[in-house]
Amino acid sequence: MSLKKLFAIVLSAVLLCGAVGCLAEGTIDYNGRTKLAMFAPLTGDNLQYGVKIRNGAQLAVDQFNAEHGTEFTLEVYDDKGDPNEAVNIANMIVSDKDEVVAALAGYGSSCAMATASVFDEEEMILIGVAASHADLPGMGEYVYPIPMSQRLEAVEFANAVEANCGIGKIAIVYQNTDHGVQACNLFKTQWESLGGEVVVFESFVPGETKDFSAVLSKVKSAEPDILYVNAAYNDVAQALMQAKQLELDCAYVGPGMCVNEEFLKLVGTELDGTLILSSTPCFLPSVIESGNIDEATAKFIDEYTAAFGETPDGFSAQGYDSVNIVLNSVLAAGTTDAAAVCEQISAIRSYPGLSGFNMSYNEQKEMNKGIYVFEIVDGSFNRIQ
Amino acid sequence: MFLQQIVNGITIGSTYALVAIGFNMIFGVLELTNFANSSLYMFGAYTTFLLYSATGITFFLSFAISIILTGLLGYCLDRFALRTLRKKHAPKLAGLITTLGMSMVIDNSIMVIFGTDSKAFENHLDFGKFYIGNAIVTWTQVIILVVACVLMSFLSVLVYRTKIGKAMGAIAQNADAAKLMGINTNKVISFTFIISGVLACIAGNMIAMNYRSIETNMGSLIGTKIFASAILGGVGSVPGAIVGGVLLGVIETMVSAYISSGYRDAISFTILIVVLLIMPNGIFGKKAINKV
Repeated sequence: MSLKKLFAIVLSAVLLCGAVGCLAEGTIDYNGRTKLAMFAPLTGDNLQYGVKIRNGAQLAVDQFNAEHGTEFTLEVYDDKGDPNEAVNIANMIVSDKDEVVAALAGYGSSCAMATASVFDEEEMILIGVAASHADLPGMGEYVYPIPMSQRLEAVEFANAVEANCGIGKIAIVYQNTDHGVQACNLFKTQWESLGGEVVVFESFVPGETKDFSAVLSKVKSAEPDILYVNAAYNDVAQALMQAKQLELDCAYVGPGMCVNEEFLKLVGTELDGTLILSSTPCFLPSVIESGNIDEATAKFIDEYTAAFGETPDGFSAQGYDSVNIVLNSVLAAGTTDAAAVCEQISAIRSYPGLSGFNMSYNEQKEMNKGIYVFEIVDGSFNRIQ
Repeated sequence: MFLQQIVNGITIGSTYALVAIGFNMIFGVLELTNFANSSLYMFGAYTTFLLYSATGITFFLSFAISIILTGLLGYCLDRFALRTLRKKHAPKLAGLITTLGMSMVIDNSIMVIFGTDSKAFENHLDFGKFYIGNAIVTWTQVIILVVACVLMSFLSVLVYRTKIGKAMGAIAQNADAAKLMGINTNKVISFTFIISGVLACIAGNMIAMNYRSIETNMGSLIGTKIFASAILGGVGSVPGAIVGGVLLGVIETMVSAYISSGYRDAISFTILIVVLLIMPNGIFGKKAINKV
């Protein structure tokens, strides 16, 4: 009896899903719009990022079309990573607005922010594929970032440090850049609200020195439980290795910028036990080879490698997620109308993306994500959270 | 902590001193600000890195070859650019801009070939560490200071006690008169550039070993510090380079330890300006007498 009942429920559920699926696919009101317009640097200094983003997006469009029988296309323009160029392209895209579903700003916050007003005026959706600047979501009604907001990231980092190292005395050494100052001030506030104490809070100007012994000696005399260095990977590597040399005995924490091969080459096995916090997963070949990744990511890596003959990285994953977020929202809305699609995007909660997990938009359209915590073990990254 | 900060300061200072020696020597001889000096410093470290990582030969052999190549590059710098300028009696400013241009050519070539990522560098001077009180000192730091002092003594003897040193001095005072007295000015100047290349290369490798990494901006990073050390110690004075470098390192460290690490350079350069207002020729500088 109960088995039969269960069978009936499962069967009807399956049928229902199928029916809903058919219904949804059958009723997309395209309004003649099937294009996704992307601008990214395909030449110039940042071309490697642009290419990764484009490939990730292309893979997502192809897979989506194959799965749902739709005919969306991806059109890519080269903005050279230059905001001026991006604005020109944006004007070109909006002149084509009868055919474009949404625009995707490829690399960097500056290009996305420069073009936000152009798209917003024409009521076109703009996705900031790799734009983590905290101000971007506020720049227009139809603007959505894919990376985690710097503001939320700093708060989540503080929570992650507390969860992994316990609350206590922390020493923060950070680079004096827009990002460093904003992130570390927020981190500090959150840490103090958790009941912790910030014993050293020192900035340095990046590119001015690679000798941190002075500030580290000061940190040492403050006897912290945790040392958090927020800077580019090479500065973090220097600072933490010099801390080790000065026998600074505490937990070491570094930012997501360290998740790259060069960092591992610089530090070797010397910084084993250091925690690295990141809002994006790790796509390093050495980590992938060790099989230390989840299934969805592994599948993505295989398909991407088969399609483009190179391994993906975090940017590819962001390109992939951007397209899927837009197209799934179009599918759910049943129309390409910007307002209706935005309603669906805004409603995204706990989306299992490839560039992060638990991806959710908050009331201010800021992206919130789960935090990855990596521990350096034998000179490689090992995910522990 | 104070003792440790003194050690830190002397270490940073001796890295400045190491590079400033060669810079000061060129200035002493030619009254030429050699901007390419810091590029030679980077070139030396990268050449060693390339040799041992790509060809698999031992580190010290790579180091030796790199010293020769950097010396050669120093020679080329003079032979193919500056010598022509001298022949045409170009103003001193033209020479200065030429060295700046050369520096960009070298920097950008390295950037194109190696990329701008930091590279890990082997440390073959890692003989552990010891304690003075509760301050930690590594042997690498000691070796750098010792090498700086040895090179300084060697150069002092070369510049102030040998025939070729006398020739350098003569050229510095009056190149035309020196030529009339039978000094082969081109040869002496080339020799000076070779020595400065060799010094820059040794400095680059020592410092790369200390920090166990190299990057393409390591030259520009230390560039302003070399000028500052040289001016503080007395431009053109070889022992002045050491004293100036170490002093600058200690000032910097004290500022970042007890005032603010973010304003380190701003404050230490202000101190530098104040010192120069009191002693315009630097600590070891002689009062300039320009006979007309």
